[in-house]
Amino acid sequence: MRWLADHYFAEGPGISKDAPKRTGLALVAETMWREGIELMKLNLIFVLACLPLVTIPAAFAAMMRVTLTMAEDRNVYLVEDFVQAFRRNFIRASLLGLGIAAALAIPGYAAFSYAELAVASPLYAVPLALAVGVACLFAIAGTYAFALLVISDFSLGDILRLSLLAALARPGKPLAALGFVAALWLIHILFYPVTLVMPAIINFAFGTLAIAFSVLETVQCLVRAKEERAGEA
Amino acid sequence: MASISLRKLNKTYGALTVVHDIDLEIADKEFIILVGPSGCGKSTTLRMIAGLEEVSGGDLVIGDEVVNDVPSKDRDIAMVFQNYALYPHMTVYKNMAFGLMLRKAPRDEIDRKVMEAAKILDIEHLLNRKPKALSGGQRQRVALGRAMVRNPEVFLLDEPLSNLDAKLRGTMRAEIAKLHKRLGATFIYVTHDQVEAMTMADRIVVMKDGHIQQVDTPQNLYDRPVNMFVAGFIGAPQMNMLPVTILRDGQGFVARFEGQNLPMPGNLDQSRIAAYEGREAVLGIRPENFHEVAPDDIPAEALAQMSAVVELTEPMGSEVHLGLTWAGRPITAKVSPRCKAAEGETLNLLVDMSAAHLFDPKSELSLFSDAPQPRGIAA
Repeated sequence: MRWLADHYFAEGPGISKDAPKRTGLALVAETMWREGIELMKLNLIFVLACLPLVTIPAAFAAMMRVTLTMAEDRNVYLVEDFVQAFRRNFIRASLLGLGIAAALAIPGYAAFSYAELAVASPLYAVPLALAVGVACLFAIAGTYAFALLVISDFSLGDILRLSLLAALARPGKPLAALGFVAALWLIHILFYPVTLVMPAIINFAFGTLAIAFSVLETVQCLVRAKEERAGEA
Repeated sequence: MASISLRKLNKTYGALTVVHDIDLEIADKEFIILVGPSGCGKSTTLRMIAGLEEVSGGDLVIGDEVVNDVPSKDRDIAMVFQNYALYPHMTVYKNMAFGLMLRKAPRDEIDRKVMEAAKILDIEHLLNRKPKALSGGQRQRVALGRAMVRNPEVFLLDEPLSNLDAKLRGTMRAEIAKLHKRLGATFIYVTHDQVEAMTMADRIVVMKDGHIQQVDTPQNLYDRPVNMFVAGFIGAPQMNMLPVTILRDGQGFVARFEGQNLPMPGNLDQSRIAAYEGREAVLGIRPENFHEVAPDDIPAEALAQMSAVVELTEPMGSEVHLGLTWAGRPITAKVSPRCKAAEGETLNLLVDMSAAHLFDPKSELSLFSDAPQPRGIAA
């Protein structure tokens, strides 16, 4: 065990004050590495909080709040922050969650139906692609909506409007983050049962952190813009 | 008010006594340094003040309260350890905030204090990093920050710089000294490095074998060591000790060393020297009191000529340390880098006897010091 202790306690190279801050994927990877244990704990808390099922949206909102704080490179009080965000956003997150689930269900069902039809007739590939596109757009809007919910005091109407606009204007990063989430689940399914514990400690929190990074900049811009408009008014 | 009194403080482990009835008064806001060789009891004394070691005897008083039985957490002190003792799984922020979190301090207050300490120590950019990525100096700053956020009355520092390289030690020495002035708290600092002690302390406590040898300001320790141990411990290279016989020479005295008479100039206390007339003594000469040419500020009658064989030269850049043999006795001299003495060469030097020290060869006590005589040395 000596090597482990040496590894754990050995002096590092130091961090220069003027060292350029990592950006992009390097920053995401660094944060995931640094906050790995906290993320695993967060995942576990999220799973426990989801057990009553009706708490899923609020638990997701709370997890989004915690991961946004990590993405902002601020200190996280894991349990406290989670519980506080869970309580604070319970009703609004539940309403938003229901709305997004319903919005996703329509294009999702359409996509499922057109996919079956497309097997028989390739002509249905066009509406299938349209349905998948709309579902992706709603999913992206959903990520923006949850981030806006926990980071601002906007009304639900404003959140829905701004998140749809954001999804149309900047869909790239959240789409990539959703791809990362899908990849995590794919790994879980492909390597099951080796990956049995992945959903309990990895998939939700690491996926949400990726989403948080993908939406943070836009969400902060939206909040600032709205505050400035309110200030001018 | 964080004055500290050690009254006949004693620490024993079974039959072994490691701290012998020491008495020490530390004033509020004082920067005091415990210095001594390994095993002298300085860290044990510090740990007793911290409450990490039980007091075997005597009283430990902080402010007006005897705290022998007060738990460490209730003593309003913070300790910085040699190995930093950071939690490796926590970020710098959490390492610093941990003590306050345990005390259930409000989050706003924790955040404010951590940010304040981080700003003072210039570690704001490290707050969300883990100790593994930090260098020794950065870890040391975090350890100091962790102590600072608690805003204690007393800081205890146990060889906090000994794991750092020489350059960083110099930087951190200055940082700690500045920090002391800025915080206005009582600092008790343990080290075996006399440079740290001399440069930072208001007063230095020299310890040996569990006894306090001398407590004084750095300059007084250097100028007026109370005994041969302190004289040898303070100053680098250490003081040369030569056996001499005190003899009368007209109105004054000389110290006779291997057939050579060395003057005892008038600035040395002649009445005390007179008490040793015809007796043996130990002459102490610091390496920096050897000169190649007569300095302008030292009277000629205070200078003694000597010839010594150069055995070793150690160029230090700003000075040269010479290992010499003077009348068969090894001595060390510190001369200017212009000195081009070669090994094996005979070198003529002048000794500034106005800065000489004399000690009793049996008790090892200084003939000139008025400081209270330490206990625990040969009587």
